[in-house]
Amino acid sequence: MPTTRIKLLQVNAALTLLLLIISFSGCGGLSNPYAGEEGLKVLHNYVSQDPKGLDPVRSSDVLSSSLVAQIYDCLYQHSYLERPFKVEPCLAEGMPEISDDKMTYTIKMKKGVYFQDNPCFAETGGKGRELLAQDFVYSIKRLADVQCDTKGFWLIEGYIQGLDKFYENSQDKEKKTDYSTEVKGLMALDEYTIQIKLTKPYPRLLWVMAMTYTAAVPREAVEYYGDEFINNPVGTGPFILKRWDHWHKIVMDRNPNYRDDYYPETGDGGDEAAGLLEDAGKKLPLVDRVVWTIIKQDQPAWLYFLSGYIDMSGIPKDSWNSAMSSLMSLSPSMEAKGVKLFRYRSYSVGYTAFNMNDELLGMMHPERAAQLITEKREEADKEEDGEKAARLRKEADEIEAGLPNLLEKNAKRRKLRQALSLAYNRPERIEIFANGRAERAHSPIPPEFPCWDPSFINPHTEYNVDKARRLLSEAGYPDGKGPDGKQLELSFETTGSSTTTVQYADFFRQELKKLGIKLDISINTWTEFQKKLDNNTAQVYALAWVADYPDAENFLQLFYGPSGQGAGPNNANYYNPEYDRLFDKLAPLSDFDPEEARMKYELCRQMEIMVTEDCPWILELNYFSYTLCHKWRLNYKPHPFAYNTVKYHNVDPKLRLKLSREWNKPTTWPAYIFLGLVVLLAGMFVYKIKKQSE
Amino acid sequence: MTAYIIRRLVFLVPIVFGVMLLTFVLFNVVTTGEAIAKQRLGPHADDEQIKVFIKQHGYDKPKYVQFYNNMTELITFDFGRSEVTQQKITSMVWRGMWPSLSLMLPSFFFTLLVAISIALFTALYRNTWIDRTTVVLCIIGMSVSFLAYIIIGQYVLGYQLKYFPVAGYEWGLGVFKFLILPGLIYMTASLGANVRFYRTIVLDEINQDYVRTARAKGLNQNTVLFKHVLKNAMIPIITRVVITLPFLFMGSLLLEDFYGIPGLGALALNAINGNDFAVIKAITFIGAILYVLANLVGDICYSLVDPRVQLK
Amino acid sequence: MEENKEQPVLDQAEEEPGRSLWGDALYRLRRDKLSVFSFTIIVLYLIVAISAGLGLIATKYDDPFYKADEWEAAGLLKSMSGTIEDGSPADAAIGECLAALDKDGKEAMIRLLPAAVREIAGTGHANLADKLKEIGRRMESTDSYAPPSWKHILGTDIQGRDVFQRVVQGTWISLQVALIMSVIYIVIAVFLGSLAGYFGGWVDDIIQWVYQTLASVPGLLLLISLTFVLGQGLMNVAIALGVVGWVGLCRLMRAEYLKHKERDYVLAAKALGAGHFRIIFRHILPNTFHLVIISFSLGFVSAIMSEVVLTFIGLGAKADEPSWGRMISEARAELARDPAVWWPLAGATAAMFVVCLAFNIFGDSLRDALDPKLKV
Repeated sequence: MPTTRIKLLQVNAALTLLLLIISFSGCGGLSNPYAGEEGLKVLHNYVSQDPKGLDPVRSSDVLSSSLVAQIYDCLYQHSYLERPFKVEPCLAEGMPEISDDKMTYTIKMKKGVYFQDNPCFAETGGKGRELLAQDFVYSIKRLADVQCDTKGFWLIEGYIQGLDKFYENSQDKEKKTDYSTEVKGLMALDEYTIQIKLTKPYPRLLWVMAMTYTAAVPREAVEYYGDEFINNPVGTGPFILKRWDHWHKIVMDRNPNYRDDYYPETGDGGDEAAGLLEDAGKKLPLVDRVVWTIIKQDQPAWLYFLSGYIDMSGIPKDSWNSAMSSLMSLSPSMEAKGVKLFRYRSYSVGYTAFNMNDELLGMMHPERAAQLITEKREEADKEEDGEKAARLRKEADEIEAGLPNLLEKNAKRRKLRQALSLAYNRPERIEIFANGRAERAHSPIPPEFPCWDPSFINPHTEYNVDKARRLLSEAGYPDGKGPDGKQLELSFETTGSSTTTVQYADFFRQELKKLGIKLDISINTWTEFQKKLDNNTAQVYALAWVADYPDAENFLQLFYGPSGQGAGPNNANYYNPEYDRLFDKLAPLSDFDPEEARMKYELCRQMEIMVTEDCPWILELNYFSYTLCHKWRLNYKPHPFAYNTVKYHNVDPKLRLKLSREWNKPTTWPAYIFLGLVVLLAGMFVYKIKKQSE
Repeated sequence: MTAYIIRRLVFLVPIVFGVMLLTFVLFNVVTTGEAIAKQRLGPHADDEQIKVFIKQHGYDKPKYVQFYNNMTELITFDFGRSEVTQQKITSMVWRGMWPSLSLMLPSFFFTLLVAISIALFTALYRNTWIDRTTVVLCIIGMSVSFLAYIIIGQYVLGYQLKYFPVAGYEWGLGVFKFLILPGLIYMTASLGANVRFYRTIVLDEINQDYVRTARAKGLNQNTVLFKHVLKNAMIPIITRVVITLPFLFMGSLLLEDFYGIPGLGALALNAINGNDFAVIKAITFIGAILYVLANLVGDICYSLVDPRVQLK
Repeated sequence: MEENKEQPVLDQAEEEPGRSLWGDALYRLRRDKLSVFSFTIIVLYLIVAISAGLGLIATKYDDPFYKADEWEAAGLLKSMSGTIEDGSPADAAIGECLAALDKDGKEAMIRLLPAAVREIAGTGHANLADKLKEIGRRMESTDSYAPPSWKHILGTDIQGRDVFQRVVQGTWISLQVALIMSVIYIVIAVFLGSLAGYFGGWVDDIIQWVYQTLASVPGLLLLISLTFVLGQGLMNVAIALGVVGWVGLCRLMRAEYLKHKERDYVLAAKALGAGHFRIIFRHILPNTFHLVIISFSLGFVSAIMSEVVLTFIGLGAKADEPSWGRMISEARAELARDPAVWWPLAGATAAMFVVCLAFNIFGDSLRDALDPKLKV
């Protein structure tokens, strides 16, 4: 008998059998991607991107903040359960002592708080050392250090004595920033006392002290890891980074050195009924480990959620029907699984920004023009480089030459922007992209936010193509054709992170097509997009802003002139000195003083009108956030500003295992049919061979 | 023999040099520093910013200096750091290699076995409807986009029928269940082309004189098929296998992306999304070197197996 | 594809005239039904693609369709004017709408609808007014993700655009990409291959070095690097494919030229004083051209497949270029919807499949037909 032939057959058969056995072993548990978690309480979360580093001073986006906040702690934190939102001590001991003139904050720290163990603590042989006041001085200086690639300096810019100088000095890339220079407004009075001296009252300081930007970072870690520090976080938080497989998963384990921190005993009205006080008084964190799986696409993530492999999820627009039966109620299949729905206002606003420096679309306020002319000429006088000086002078001259037409030009361009805003089909997008769970935005201040005016209607966020066409004509582009007869062309920047963002951009292209305007879409990677924003070279671009703290100033400062040009989050580079003056008046007002709050409200109204008339943004939609949470994931309460909330979560792993096994039984009949076919074919083969041997 | 090997190694040098030149031309010449700057900074960047960017990245030095720096880096396998994650690229490649291999090697060899079996099968039944149907099926298989296989496969097998995890990976022994679906998809998608190739080889051998002689001498069809034909067919088969091996290191970009396997393919894809020039340059270079080496090994194997081959 | 069963010719009444390689090939191709069929498909494809490119068909591929169109509205208005009193303001309003539609089109009519609704409601025909209002609303609401129906054979996409028309437009795009790529790579391959084979020596060495270097880099990676570097856009994809794909044909041409340069007819031409380039292009090339055609046919498939992959990764077609690759890459999310939206994926995949199958079969048949070993 020819042995090779039999061997081949046998090998084939054996392999197939082996495969099938492996496949069907552990029926149902097969598609479970988590292994080796017996006896541990593990939370299964997911994120859609690999974070670009876990450094607190760079945590400007929601993703980084969500991760950084579990490892790093700040002086203050948001109260998890209590409403209205307030801040409570975290690493601080009690609320700060504020001087009468509101310019000096003295903060006492908790004693006996230790950093996590890490090889960077060479002196103590790898064991974490105690957290001291100096650490916060160091950490906040880092926030003001350009060389750390800080993204959060704008929050404290101009407020802390001496810190702005520190920031300026750090811009000298030739020298490494010197942290030993004293900053008057940032001092450690003793080992456990920090004193902050302000240049002007800052009612939002405590909110800032609760943001991940101001978390405590040990100097040893930064010096030990150097460039790799962003991959090796070392903090005082409830969790430590156990493992980071880039683009695959992030594992955080409970921090054995974590201080004594307990689950709150009291909450808001409905908390007890919702079972949120079951774990009151227990020591935090409540779980042993958190696993964040990185899943880039929406659909596999959604499938994981449906299978129970991920504890919580949002609802991707394409999966709406399988999750919800109406705007408010879950679908039967969700109900059957015991999934809980959380619906809440997301204090955010999606917008399309116009670069106000742009030739075609932008605005130059006459006051600002005058300012620039003087500034540039002065700088040219001081400038040594002849070429640069000449260029500055030329720029100043150009602005001056444009002065007589300035008002008319501004008016025309304003009409253009308003026209584009009117052409934006919000009702359609609410249907198609948001499944109905959004509303037309009227103001940069989102609904139900402090200082929101429910009666304000923005005439330019209506969907009215007629009006848009008319305004377009008045702006000098009848039917989209400019004075030279050529079609108006605009370039739109967006990130291509998902098909949805691309589809979104294409919708905009269609909407502008109706007006006769050509839109050239450029899909960028996130890094490219950031760079274009930083360097001020995009023309029209899509962004969103999520509130950092419950104060209207957080949205209004997005239009503050000096925060533009890449210096802060004023990505549209809107510069209106009238607006800035109002803002300067508003900034020191506190929400907690009734008289000041009233003044603030009035100022908000004026600023709102200014900004919506000038239309530096196409205000798009205000969303409702929907989060789905499985039965076994406990203690979740949405908090729009706090990111360090994972420590309060609890999980019932047995229930999870049981239910996910139940939900994931494979449908076996197709496999059997397929197997049958294979066996049949193999049989034919053998038969033929046998026949030929005879 | 050793003389042959040494000679081949010597010939490797101009090829490696050529590859370095190619990567350099691609990343430093075809896209000039200015173009990269414009791409990064956007079409409205002004000259000042472009100049700063060029200086920052060293594009202003004369071309040969850039090339020299490039070469020294590549020879020492110092690929520098990823522009996005700041990790050392060498370690990223090392880490990414294993998942790619763990997926591709078993899939490839399994596909090989199945494809050869089918090829032999159709050789037995040549000129009958079975043979013709197989060929047509193969062409049909080759005409469907790889993407379609992946998308439909994931949807049907992972989502609808719930046989396998939809995506994900595990380091260690538990890795199998994550590899089956992508492996199956790979096999199904490449079966068409593979079967056709092996069928052609086998048929070519069968049509040779010595086969006719053997049959005339009364030897059984199967003995002939499996003992003689297969052995002779091994030569081109081995050559092909060896040449394909380096590409297994690279992993399949699409498979890894869809199935969440953190291998070199995924690494390349993420580098593209993050505009990470350094990583892409490194992977391109590594891929080329592997291919060149594999060719050498392939030639040597070939000469070992076939005594007719003269080592020139 | 068919294996010629050679019949022994024992007695021939007449001698059949000799045939050239091409004549033979054509003969064999004509007899093979499968290759005739696939050739027809290819011709159809070309016709469709060029018509689409010229704007003769599938012109509405980028226009969103709405849930109701103006004809439906006009129909409703006309039927209503029967019920409404003649001469009343409501009737006048209806008349205005219809007139606006005839004169200025759909947009004009939509503008006048709210007034008409008010008037009709005023006359007490509340349900008619509601119906009109409803139609007005539907005329402005895009028919997003409509499943296949008589109106749209392949349904609509997210913007309400007709998927079938987009698929048809995709043929034009694929043709463009494939043609540009082919021109580039064929020119390079023929030029370099012929030089290498004919001249041999150091010319051959250098050219071999060039293409071996190029072949060393994994194909997809090289494509990705190139498109990464050239930027997005279909033209760049075509260029990249061309620059990368000439190696295979070049090798073949080189082998052919090596064979042919020792042949008698070449020696004869040389003896007659023909210059090198004349020999290369006028004498040898026609004899090797069949390889180019086969390569072109099979290369088409590779062009289409590569575009799909590149677009999927994000390096190929731009957002508004309706290539098949773009449709397939958006399909991923669409399939996961509930109910699943499968029609764009089906449309693009089916179209690709038919075209690639045709080119594959034809290329194969051509290769078999031109195989001199099978000559009778």
